[in-house]
Amino acid sequence: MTQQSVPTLIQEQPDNSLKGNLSLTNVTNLLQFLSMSSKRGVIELVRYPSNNEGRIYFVGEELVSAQSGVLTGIPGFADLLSWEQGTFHFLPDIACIDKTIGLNVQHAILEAVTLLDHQANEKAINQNSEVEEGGFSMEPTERDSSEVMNSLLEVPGVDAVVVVGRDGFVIESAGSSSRVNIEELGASLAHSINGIEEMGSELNVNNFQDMFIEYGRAVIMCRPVGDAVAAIITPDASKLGVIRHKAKKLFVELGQSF
Amino acid sequence: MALKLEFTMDKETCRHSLNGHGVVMHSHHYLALITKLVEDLGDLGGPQILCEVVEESMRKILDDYFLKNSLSSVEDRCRAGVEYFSTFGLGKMHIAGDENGGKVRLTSSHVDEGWTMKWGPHSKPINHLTCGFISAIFSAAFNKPLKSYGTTETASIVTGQPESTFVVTALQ
Amino acid sequence: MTVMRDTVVKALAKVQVQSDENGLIPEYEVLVNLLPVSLLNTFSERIMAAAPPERKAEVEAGLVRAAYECGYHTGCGIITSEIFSDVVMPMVTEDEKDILRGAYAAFTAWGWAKSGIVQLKEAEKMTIRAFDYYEADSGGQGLRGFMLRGLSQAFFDLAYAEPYPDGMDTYICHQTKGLEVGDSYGEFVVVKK
Repeated sequence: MTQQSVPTLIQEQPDNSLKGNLSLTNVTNLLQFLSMSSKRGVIELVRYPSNNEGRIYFVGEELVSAQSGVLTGIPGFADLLSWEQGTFHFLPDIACIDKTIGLNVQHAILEAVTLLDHQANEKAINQNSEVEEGGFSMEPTERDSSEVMNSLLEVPGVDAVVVVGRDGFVIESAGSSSRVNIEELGASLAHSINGIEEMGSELNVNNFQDMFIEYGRAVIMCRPVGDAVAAIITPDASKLGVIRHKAKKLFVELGQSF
Repeated sequence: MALKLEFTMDKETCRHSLNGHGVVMHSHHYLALITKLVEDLGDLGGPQILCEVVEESMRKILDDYFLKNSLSSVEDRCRAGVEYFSTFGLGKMHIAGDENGGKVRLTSSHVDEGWTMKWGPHSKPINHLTCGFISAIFSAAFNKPLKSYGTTETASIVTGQPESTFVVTALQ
Repeated sequence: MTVMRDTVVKALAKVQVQSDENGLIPEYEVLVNLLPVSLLNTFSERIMAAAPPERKAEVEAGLVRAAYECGYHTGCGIITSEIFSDVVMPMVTEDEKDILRGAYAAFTAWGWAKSGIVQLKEAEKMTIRAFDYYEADSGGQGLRGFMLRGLSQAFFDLAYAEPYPDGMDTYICHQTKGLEVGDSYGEFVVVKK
């Protein structure tokens, strides 16, 4: 089936499609919702104000293919995840011939977010080197750590946020800590990260950047923030992709306080 | 009867207590400088403030201990006071006297030895902290109100004497 | 590996000082005393209250100084002590930074202040946060963390100034937040004098 034939098929069937605006949801949530509902088909996207077009094909929990302009596969999918303004249109039971991804939806989201992280890091490094060459210093942080942590708590699925020193000192925490004891989390994280950093050093694979631990009743996601480590506690892994995506900038901001 | 010591620590804050009263460690540098501070603030009544605060604080601790351990005799109460003094690392105290007053000797003294270690001997007695401690022991032992006794240091280790001596007088 | 705070706190919290036959406690190269917290807090407040407005800074400086010199001299004794060598030093991989981490774990274990390092720029600046410290109970008006100010300044001097005993008064510590004034923690910032 070619992409040009899609409108014809839709016109011949009752309109059981799903349409909407990306200001009401986002691509990650939409895809997770549809795939977990065992749907199959294509999500057509139009980005505002550029009117760029994109498509995501999936069958149940498998992400088959994605395209954003000339980008395909994970790079194309990653680009679509960053779209915040535009429309979507889900067309059920549309299959795609070319399999450019072929991964579980959650896995694909993580891959895409990782790619976005790398792109953002490279961009930041380039910007910093430009700033240094130009002799400017970075702007001081405008928000204090408590405000940034409250923003992290607003990310859907985040129960609690904790910032822990490398020695396990719980510097700051926000949100509900009913799932875990925050003091014990601080000590345990410090021990774990020590071990992980030693492993990284042994393997010569550079510094630790991310850690996810999935337990039966909680998922803990950690990243370095300055000289400390921030941990997000979430009840399960279903929203990990979107949390990781939305928390990225906030972690960078939080790093300026520690 | 030896002083009953129950050291505890709050798990949440790590604060330490002795027989239910919060305590904290410091060194002779701290007390030497606090003593020096009150000496320097003599015009504000510094030595008297230190003496009174020690009497008030120690009186509460002693009263509490006497009550919990049913100490009613003057001898037992004085002994408990002396042992508290040593437990706090403040030195070795020897008490003689009655309800009307008495004489107290220190054969070793944290404040005096600390001062001497830090700055060498001094020209006059400086142990205001122990004056307050002794007043607390006397008033607690004889069930008298605070400030019922006046304590004066008449000889002092810090001036080169082998012992410090304090004269305790019942105030009218 | 870096200094693991919980390990240090657990080990040092068990340490109990005991007086000798002279009623003295010689430890860490100093004479240690164990005083009621109520006595120390009440004294600070009374002496502050006795001072007229123009002399309050002098009294405050005196209280901080007592803590500073206590921290500087006793601190040196602590970080060279057998127990510090046994418990903390095996975990030290980042030199001064780790020694300071160990020091704040010791402050916590010994009930001075449940505190730790938030940010440390070596030999430049250190920010400390304390979630409990006995001076917060003193009942006075304004910031009252004299002890932790003195201690923080002392330990930063020990870590980054000239070697003991020549490094005194290289850094200074300011208290910027306090439990005693309604903040959710006490904050102390050490910078070069």
